Amino acid sequence: MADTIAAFFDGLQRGGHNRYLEEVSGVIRFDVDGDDNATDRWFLEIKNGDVGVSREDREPDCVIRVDRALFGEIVAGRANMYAAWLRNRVVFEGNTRLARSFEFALPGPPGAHDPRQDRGRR
Amino acid sequence: MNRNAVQILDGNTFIVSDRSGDMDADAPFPTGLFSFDTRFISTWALSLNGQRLGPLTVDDLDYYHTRFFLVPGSAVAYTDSDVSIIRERTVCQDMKEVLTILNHLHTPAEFTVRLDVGADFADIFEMKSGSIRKRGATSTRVDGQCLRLCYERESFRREAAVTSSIPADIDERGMTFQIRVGPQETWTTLLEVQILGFNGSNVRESLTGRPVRSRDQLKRDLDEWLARAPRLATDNDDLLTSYRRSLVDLAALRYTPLTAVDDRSMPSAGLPWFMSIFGRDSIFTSLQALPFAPGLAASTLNVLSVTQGTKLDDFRDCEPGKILHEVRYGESAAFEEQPHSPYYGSADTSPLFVVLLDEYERWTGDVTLVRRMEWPARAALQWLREYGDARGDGYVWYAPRNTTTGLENQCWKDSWNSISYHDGRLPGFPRATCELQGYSYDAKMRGARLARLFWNDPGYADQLEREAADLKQRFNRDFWVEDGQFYALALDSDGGQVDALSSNIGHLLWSGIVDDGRVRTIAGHLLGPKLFTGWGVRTLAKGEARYNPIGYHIGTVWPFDNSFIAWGLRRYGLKDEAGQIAGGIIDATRFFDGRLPEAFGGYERELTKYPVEYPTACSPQAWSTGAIFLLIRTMLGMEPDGDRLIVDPLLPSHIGWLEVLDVPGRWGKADAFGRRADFPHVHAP
Repeated sequence: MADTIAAFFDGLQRGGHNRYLEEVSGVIRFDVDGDDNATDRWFLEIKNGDVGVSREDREPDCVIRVDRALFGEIVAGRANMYAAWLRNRVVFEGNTRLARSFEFALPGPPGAHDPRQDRGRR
Repeated sequence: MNRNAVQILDGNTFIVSDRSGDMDADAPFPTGLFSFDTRFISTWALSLNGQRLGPLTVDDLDYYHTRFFLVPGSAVAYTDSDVSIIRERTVCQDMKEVLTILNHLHTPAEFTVRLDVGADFADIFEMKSGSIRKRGATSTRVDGQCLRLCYERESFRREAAVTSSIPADIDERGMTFQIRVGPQETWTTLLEVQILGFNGSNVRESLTGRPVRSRDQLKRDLDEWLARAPRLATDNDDLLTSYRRSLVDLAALRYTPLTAVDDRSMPSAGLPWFMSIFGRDSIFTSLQALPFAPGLAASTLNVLSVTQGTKLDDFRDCEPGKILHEVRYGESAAFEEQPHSPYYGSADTSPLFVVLLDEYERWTGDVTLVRRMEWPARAALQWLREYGDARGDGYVWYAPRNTTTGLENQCWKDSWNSISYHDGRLPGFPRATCELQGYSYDAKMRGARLARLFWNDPGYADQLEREAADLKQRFNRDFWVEDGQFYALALDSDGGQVDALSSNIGHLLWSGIVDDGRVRTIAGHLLGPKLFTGWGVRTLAKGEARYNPIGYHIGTVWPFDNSFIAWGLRRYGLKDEAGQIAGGIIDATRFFDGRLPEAFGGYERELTKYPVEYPTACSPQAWSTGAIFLLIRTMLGMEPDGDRLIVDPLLPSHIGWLEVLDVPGRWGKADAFGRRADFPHVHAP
């Protein structure tokens, strides 16, 4: 699971610019809690769509706290972050808008149907 | 809503009670204290010496504040009472009720005051379906001088904490006061219900970590809102009443989403079922209100862009570039029993997003926002060409991928039976309703203007205009029903015409997709006996197999729909016809104390003499509230032209004169004035 999460953040870092995040700037700190009482911290810095990932401590505008197993599902697109937030399984502190913007960086559910594939099919 | 319901609200927290101020799960209409799509209080019933109370009067003080004057027993059989009771209730995220007992005797009096309290924590969707079956655990606990009603399901938690400023005997079903009131004296206590989420803090605070507004802030905000609004004067009292009512209702329906920028608010859709963000409703209401409250459009655009779809998600009917349909915060969304996290099942929100952005710029000249919204607007336009075009033929289609809890019809008429053939059959999927093609055409034309003027991309502008021209030409060929001489309600999955006559042909007009040569024919249908009732245009024409004058989208008259039809007629220069519809709807306001409901019956005006209320209509509802604003704009012919406000009035026969002062816009403030040539007295403002 930790590998999935690390791979996800690596992908974000490599992705560089995200056009959906061009209106967004700020630092999100992820507190990812493991079963072992250890908390992994990741820092996502967004500057008008430019996305950078770091493990170095810095002042966050928003904190997203979530347990490791669930976060692994979220970054794989198998769990929905918004619904988990409503269930209090994901907690936002600070700038909620920034936290919600993070959804733009998340993948959708695997195997979703693309309506464009129906073209020409009767 | 039922006329006997008394409602107060603050954003998505609202209270509905009967005229005594009581809430009771068995009431003939839904009552309770609701917040974030959950009913926190379902029983709140007051009695004095074992007797329930009846209302003398109810004062609606502000939209968030009301006062009930009561006496024991039924006020119908009222004889002079020795005691009266005042309940003064405020909702401001939490609920406060000042309870006062007045002893009118010259001797002391003793009373047993009992307040029954209960909570079922129903999700708004359980209430709509009529089946409340909780999967979590409800518990009640007396915690010193606090009655705690709590609902827990896994980590989801909601709590109502009830307290009184005067100590009470509290049990698990409410609280009792044994009181003695001196001769001609009063007794008062303050009852409070706190609406709590996680960690014992207010629900909003628990989700956002930000404090809630105080009642003083609410009052200040309303005063400022009313002071900022243009002033309206007219000889028509119905219009004046409705304008004032609508301004306050629109203020009440404003709601600050958890993702708002700088806590700015946008319109939520309507009470009681739709107190949340709906993309379509928020966009339409913001459009209607542009000349009067342009700030709503800016916050609507901001919030909808933050939640724009970026991925494929079947459960949520989501695709990249799509603007959302509906957001919810309740248990059914949290546990994904309903898809509103958010749900994207609307085929019209994406083009309408672009339409609103352009219209907003035309009124306000806010170029900064237009530049910031370039990417979301382009993504919405791209959605039209890709995911919206399921058949690959240039039209906008919809078909639910979530076939259990998604919406079958993803247009404004979103009930299951709204789209039918003349003979009543329902078409297969995908479906392409006609007004969707109008929105698409309009979005492309307006997108082209924005691309040329503000995004520095004339090539893209040319491309959009070519697509729009092509769409218009093919639309006028493929949708035109030769036999009936009107546009088909939709195309079916085979590309065949869904040939019912409907209000959608009128709703098409404001987009500009209708060929000039056909406008008079369309207007003839709209004001003819099959569609026009005398109050307004029916959603579905008399003579269609599914027509029902009290069918939600199949025969009722929707004020919102009519305001856009009138605007569309006006766009094509049919001023008299536009005035006729505006006049009918304005007449109808009289029967609703100026507050237009979501819909009313499609019976002929001559037959009933008054508009028959649709039984479960929402009221206030944002886009019905907005209808008055768009009708005023239409009657005065208000149109931005560069840095000037053009006014070209044509008033219906029963409005002699009408003026709107201090209309905000890129011109600063401007006035609009209209007077009928045959109006006998010249008004001197």
